[in-house]
Amino acid sequence: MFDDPEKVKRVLKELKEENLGLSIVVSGIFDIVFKCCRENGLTPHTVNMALGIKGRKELLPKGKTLDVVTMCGHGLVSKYLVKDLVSKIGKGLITAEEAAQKLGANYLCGAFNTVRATELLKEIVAEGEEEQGCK
Amino acid sequence: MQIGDSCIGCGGCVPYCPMAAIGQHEDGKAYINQDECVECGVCLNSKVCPVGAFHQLKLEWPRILKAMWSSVVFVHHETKVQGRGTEEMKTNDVTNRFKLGEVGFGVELGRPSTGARFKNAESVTIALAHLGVEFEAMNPFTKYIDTDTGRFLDSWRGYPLDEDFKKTKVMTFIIEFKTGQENVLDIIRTLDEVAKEINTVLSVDLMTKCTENGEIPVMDILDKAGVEYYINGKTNVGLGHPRR
Repeated sequence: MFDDPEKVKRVLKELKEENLGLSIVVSGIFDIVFKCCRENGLTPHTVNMALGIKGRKELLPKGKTLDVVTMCGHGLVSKYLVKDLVSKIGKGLITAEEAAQKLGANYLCGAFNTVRATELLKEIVAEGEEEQGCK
Repeated sequence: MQIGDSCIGCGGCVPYCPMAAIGQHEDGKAYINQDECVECGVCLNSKVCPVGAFHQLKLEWPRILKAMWSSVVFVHHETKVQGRGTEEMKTNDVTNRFKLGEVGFGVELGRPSTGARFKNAESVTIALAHLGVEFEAMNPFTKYIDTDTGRFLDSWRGYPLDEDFKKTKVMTFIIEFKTGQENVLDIIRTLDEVAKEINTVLSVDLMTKCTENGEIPVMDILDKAGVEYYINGKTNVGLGHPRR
């Protein structure tokens, strides 16, 4: 995870110099990633664009709860656990940071951004659970 | 997944299940709705149970399919890599699987958070087969279907693809295929229509090779047709060496 395009640029520069011959994929906003490529003399090769979700969207959690559960692309973050943890944060039983650690600790892929999850959990608590689809 | 008699009825495990398959009896003891359970293993792997009441039994056909399509670490026979799909565009600079003028799609049923049944996926593949798409041969799901009709074969590796198979619920399926760039809007319209008929959700990804100038050729088609897409996604930056 990188929070600064300059860091991505530096990593791509190093990877280009190493000339490993391996495929490298960067996830992020296309305009920013493409800029990082071009500034290193790289031409983006192939993209994967998300066209969104179709079908019975009423089955999905709402608002930022959906944002939290989709942070695990494998679908292993339970919306019911998010609801449970949000409730515990609201009651002062657990901090948002601890809750994010609990969400991320259970998943074998390990690709879970606990910093972002902490922010989202705080926002859900601050904005009200019902508005965020947690009730 | 099973819950043993040692369960103390604390209920701590209930919210961990992404499919809401864990319930509690009147005495508080937890049980698993085996039809809804997708064998993802989150309940067990989370170690939430204070007495270790969860245990995994050996899975037989067709229940083994749940683990195959729900576990993130399962290695499919076809791909030899972990996960439900192939490397698709991630290695396109090496494989040249998607050429200029071609567009690849990844359609993931049951994502996010809803799960899907095999019969849902067959509805999608039948609709796509009518459009003459080229299903990805290396994708594990493709092995279950007749790629001309999109219908399930009678069997796979000797196992019956029968009604029990079709109603089996898993976390998600990824259907992968490619087609000519000129068919993009037909594909999207077809997915819109079939999505109305199935009792779940599907997430659609589109993959395309960039031009020599680093432009995304299909973007113009999408913009003119008013098709919405996310501003973020995956970019293969082109550092792989083409396979000879």
